[in-house]
Amino acid sequence: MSGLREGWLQIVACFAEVQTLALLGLIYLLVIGPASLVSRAVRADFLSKRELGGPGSAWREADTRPPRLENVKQPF
Amino acid sequence: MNILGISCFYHDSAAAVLRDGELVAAAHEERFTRKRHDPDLPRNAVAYCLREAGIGIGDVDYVAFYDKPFIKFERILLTYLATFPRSLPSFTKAIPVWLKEKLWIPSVIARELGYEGEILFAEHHQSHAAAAFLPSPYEEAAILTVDGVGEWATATEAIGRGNQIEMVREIRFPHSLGLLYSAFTYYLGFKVNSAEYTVMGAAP
Repeated sequence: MSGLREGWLQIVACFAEVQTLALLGLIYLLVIGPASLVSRAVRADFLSKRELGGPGSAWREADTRPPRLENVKQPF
Repeated sequence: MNILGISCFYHDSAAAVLRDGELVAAAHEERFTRKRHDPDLPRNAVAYCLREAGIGIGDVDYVAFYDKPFIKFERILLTYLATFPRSLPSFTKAIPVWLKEKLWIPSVIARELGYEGEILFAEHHQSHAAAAFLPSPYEEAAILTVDGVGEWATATEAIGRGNQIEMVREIRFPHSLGLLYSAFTYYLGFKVNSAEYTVMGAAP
């Protein structure tokens, strides 16, 4: 009986994997896709590829908060 | 004051315990599970560190996590937007882990470790800088960290003085020497986040 249950759980796990892939694929196509196309249309540069720190250098001033207690209490 | 440091859900999870600023114990989860580069919550490493320190989870004043997950998630989502449609395989692989664990670090730690106190989130490169500078014999030093990517930074310059670290400059994703190194690791047929040392060893 436990062998039957194990087999059933494996089948269900396969279904869950396929379902997850299908759902994420849909979200990617319906949310990320259009948002990406709009961002390209308005020439958004999310990765700041056009903004380099100086001629020939990617170094820029650190965009960071000091590691003080009040700054490390949030996960963002 | 007892602080439990945790790194997990990426690769090579680990834990460390500090008491009043002194390192008491540190351990790599893979040494207990025998699973190479084990990324799971380091339950065994945490248990070992607490045992070495002679304390229980209730004696821990703070748990410190090694990066800020929400900023990292923002960077990942924006990267998916910028690289549509090539990012589909990465999206379907990475998002389930984020939704299941990485966005819920406090809940996962509370549930799995029975910890009820505050959790602190240092920035990724501040963690690297602290790991390099604080155990060093130097009272003052310039600190250079070069990584694949943390939240947004991929390399940083900082100044360490006493127990303070001031971040000065950084290189931001997608510009990354570490990711370039990983790309070559992959190109040579090795596993990324694993065999970089092999590539380094193969260099003259």
